Amino acid sequence: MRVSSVIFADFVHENSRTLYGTAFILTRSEVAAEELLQDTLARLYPKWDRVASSDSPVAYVRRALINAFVSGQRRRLREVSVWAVPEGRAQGDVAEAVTERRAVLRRLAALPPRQRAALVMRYLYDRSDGEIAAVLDCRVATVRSLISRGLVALRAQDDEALDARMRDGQGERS
Amino acid sequence: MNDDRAVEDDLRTALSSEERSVVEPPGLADRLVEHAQRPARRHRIRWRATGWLPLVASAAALVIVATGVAVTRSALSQPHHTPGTSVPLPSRTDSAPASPAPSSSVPSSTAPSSPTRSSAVRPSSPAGSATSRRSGGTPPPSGTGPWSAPQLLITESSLGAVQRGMTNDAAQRAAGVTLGGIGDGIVRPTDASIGGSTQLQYAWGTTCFDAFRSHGGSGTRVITPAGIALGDPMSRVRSAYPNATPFTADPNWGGPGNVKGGLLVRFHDGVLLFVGTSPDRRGGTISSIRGAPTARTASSYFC
Repeated sequence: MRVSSVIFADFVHENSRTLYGTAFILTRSEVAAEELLQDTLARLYPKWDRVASSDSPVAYVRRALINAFVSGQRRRLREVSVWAVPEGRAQGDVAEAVTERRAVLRRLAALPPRQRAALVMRYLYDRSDGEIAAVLDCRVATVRSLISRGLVALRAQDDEALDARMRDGQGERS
Repeated sequence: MNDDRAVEDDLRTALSSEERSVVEPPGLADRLVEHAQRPARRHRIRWRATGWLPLVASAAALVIVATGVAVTRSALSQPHHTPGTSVPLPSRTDSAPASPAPSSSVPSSTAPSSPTRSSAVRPSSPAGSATSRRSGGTPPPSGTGPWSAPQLLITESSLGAVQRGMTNDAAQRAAGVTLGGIGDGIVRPTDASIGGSTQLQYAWGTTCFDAFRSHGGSGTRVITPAGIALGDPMSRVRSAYPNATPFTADPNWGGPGNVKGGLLVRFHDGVLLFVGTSPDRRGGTISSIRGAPTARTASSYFC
């Protein structure tokens, strides 16, 4: 148990930043991200030997993290979460690329949790349909559907934003 | 088809750059380890507490009654406030204070802070009795307003308008923002954007106050009465508080989630613990300022 504790502590110190990054991208809230990560690790700790002996402990924990996020047990987290990129962090940023990045993340944050999780696993971690299906506990076809619908929703929001900008622009000119 | 590809590319770029730019809050890894290794003990404590609840509740009721009598006598024996001076914030004995002003009436931290207001923050620390004195005759900085203010004053017993001993409801009214528990008795604004890059929180039932910078960028300026602010060099702590002593965590106290080191300033009514960014936590810049009754409390993961 003591050896396991040491390994666990070392693992957390080495990987807390990247795991926190995953949690933050999913929850869009610093408080919710920390709580999600905290709860995930607390649940995994009793069976840490199994985690440590897996091919990739980081991937194992990340899968558990995403699973915890998607699961209905995260009700309190969702209540606390702020589904938007914190405005405070955007202050002073004027670069168009940053603005665009934030817009994409904001649109992503508006998607349902399962769609969001599927898109994050595919486009951030390059997971296959089968791997995503295992984490989300669904069929491969469902994963394809989640990703497809997610992309459609993102594009639709993109088009709406573009339309709105064009309307605003016309309004200013007229 | 091209649109799909463009959306995919935008998403991939946004996600990868966001993941790279995320900065974890200070002490996160320690807190995670501590939390994971403690749940069984916490449950046990909760179960035991349930068994002793009637006894504890009776004792608490007696204390409240006794305190109420003392406060009433004290209030009757003191002169009334001069009209025009600010209303004192509730003292630590207020279990359900009526006067913490709603957010609209809490004075803005940008407004000049009168000495009367400043003294109201620390009613239990008479001048001269503190182990550490405030520097010179300069008035303390402003910052006794709601947590949404751009500057907040942190003392050993308060953060902004929230004071030690307040109930959660009173603390929320005083803070002027919605507060929520994140577990382990730690309470923060539910709106993550409050404070910007400065995280504000209290714990252990408004016993311990903590302000820390989770990442760079703009955020609420948190400052002590001696003018030491979050983000200042740690060297300034020693000049402002000559009696600041190096703090090293007691190895027999708590686990890895506790603060390992820092600079400690003792007052009559508690301590201020400054935590730096250097490996020994006594150098670099100030990443966290904690106000609590004791050094142990201030250094605890649960603070």
